[in-house]
Amino acid sequence: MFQPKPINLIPKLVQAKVPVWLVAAIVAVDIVVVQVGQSHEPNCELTYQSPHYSTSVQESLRQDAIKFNLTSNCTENQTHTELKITISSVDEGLEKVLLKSNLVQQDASKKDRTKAHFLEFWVLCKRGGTEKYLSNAHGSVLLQSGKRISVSNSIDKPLAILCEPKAK
Amino acid sequence: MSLFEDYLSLGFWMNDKQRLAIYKYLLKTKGSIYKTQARKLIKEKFMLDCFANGEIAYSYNCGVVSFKARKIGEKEFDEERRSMKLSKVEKVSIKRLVKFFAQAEVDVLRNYPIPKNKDLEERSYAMNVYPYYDLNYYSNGEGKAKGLLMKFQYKDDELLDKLLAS
Repeated sequence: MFQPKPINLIPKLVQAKVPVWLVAAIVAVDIVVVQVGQSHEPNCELTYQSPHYSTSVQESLRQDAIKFNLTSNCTENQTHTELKITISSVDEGLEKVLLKSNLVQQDASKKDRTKAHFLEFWVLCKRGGTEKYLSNAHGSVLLQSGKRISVSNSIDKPLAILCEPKAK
Repeated sequence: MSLFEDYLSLGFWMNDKQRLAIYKYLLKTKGSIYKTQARKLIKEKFMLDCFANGEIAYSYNCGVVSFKARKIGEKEFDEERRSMKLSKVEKVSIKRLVKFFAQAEVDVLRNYPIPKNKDLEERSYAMNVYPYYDLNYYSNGEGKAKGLLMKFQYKDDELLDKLLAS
């Protein structure tokens, strides 16, 4: 009677000539891909939007002022950002605090909920003069997920700003 | 137009000392109105009010009063903005509510000022984390004891005198 000859598959597979380095590389790539996929840690940044002479303060209050707008920008939607800011002027190495804000809460922008724009910080200046400013701001962002992330930024080197509207 | 009416259009351009001056001015000039409103709110649990270009919805539930705000003409109220625990003693609650109403109106003025000459830019809601009636406001969150000390040292903005004299 005919009996089929069993094919000895297992030894053939074991003997497959796949280089060890290739197996190691595939495993390594797999681990990296999985980790990158999992690293969705949210991140937020606080930035100064180039301090400038404020024409809007001039129009509203008839006063000359330098405005320090800030934006917190996150990789996820936020509920709001809370912030304290200090603005100082520097003259011949002497620092004079011009504004020390209370803790302010700013809702996320309705147009882009990953951002919150702080548009209320300004200090008076003398028309035509140039002053050097320092500033630091720190606070935290409350994300919609409920997570809170600390943010901070500063202007460490004296920044000279002319107290005059830009010529049109 | 009175000086106070002028400030109703300044909204987010006011600095914090000026806002505190407005708060104190409201407490001094609207005290009796606030007391009447406080009794009404305790009795009816809900109250709608307008200030500057905003509407305020107060509600009172389980001993806690809170408010929501919106720009006049908007359909939806925003989220709850502030809340305050009231006392079981009505007199104390009314005293607290008077401060709460003044705070709510200053918050609304900050966000929804009366448009003056041109349309105001759209901004998202901003507020001080610590209300003026909380001693933490004066210490900027560094405790009520320090806040009390700093409150005694605090010098009112000249705007308060100007408003009271006008």
